[in-house]
Amino acid sequence: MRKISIIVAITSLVIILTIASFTKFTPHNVNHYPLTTELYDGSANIVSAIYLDFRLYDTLFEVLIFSVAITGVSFYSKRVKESGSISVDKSPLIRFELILLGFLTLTWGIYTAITGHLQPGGAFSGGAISASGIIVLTMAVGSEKIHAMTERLELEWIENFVLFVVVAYAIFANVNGGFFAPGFQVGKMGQFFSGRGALLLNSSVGFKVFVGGWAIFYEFSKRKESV
Amino acid sequence: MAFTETLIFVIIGLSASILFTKGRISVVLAYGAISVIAVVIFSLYAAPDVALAEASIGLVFTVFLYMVVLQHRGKLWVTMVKIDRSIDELELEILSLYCKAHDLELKVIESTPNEALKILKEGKTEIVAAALVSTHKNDHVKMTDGFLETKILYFGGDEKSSFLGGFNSFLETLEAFKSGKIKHFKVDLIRYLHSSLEGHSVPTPKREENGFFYSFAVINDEPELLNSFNEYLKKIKESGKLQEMVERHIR
Repeated sequence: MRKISIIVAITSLVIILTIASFTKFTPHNVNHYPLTTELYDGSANIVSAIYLDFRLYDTLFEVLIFSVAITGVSFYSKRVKESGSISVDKSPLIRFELILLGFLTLTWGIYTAITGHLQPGGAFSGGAISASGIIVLTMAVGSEKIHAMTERLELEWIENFVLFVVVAYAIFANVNGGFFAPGFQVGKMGQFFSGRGALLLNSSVGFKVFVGGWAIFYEFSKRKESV
Repeated sequence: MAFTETLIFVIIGLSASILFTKGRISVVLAYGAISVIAVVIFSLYAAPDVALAEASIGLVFTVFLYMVVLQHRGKLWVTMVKIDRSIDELELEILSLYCKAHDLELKVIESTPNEALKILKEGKTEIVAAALVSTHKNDHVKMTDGFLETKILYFGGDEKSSFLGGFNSFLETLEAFKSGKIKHFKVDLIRYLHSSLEGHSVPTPKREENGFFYSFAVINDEPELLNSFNEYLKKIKESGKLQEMVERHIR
């Protein structure tokens, strides 16, 4: 019965999408973003200008949802029993390679995050790439060292602190005459120091995503039945 | 129909296949495949930012996370104490079938009766398979339901005699009984038969009692494992699989 209902649901979805793909929608984009971006924001990447400037509140609540998700994961997994450690590959060559790959991935994530206003990328991708670097490092050096480091750093506190940076920016960015007032550090398009608060927001939100991904990985790998 | 629209149907097919896939690793790989196709679609729609986010979160981070986490959890650690070939093989077959049904890897540590409890206390293993009788009491373990009926044999007479269906070595106690150090003990049928078949001279039991079962011992702080194991035993009892296995292994 359950399988039949799943099959029926999928078939109807396929039919609706087939009909929809033959229907032509007229695009109603009023091509005004490039000019506005150049005048008021200065980001070479229009997407970055939109989600870090024109639609900052979307990002704010996205970050908030991310915080709530991580808090939920760590709250729930406190109930689950801790289990053994992740085993490390025996070959020293592979471990060495994994360490190199891990640090490379971490650096790549940082680069992706802080150049988000110049090219595709940004905080969320960069943070996730860096967190993958932590996973690769865990495969290289074993979970015990990484877990000890995680506990020493108290990730959840750091991670929630970044939220206040974003809130503060969201409040003060549009105050006329303030530090982040409109027109502040618009810069020349394509330069590293341009795009108003893009650098600050990309690095802080990217750091938050990185720490959050790390915290989720820590909770998942430490407990036994949490998956 | 355009290429990108066709890819959407591939995504739907892959997500439907997840619902009917058994192994955990296959599910993670199917999820990764969905992400690959999503990345292709985003790129074809000229959205490199979204494609990069999807690739880094959906493809790299999530798949890596699940791969690493699943790599260390899909194992069932078992302490195996060899008692007799018949019951050892039966226990091993039940455990390996349980692992197959729950997608776990069976890891067996062989041990002597005296060391089995030590290994369990250190947290190295989760289940003990040592032909334990289901009435056995220990602070560190809980017994599962029984899988094979047995008898308890009484030697020496006293009702409150020390019981040997647990972690103690039978042969040592037998020697002590013969030399007169202990006056009385009780033991289960298979241990008794095994030592008599091995050529040890064993005394005849004074009295025997029916209605006991062999079972596994599960470490105390894993109630979920205990529950799922009991459910599994119930299932194979109802389907007759257990009876067939017992007939095959026990003389």
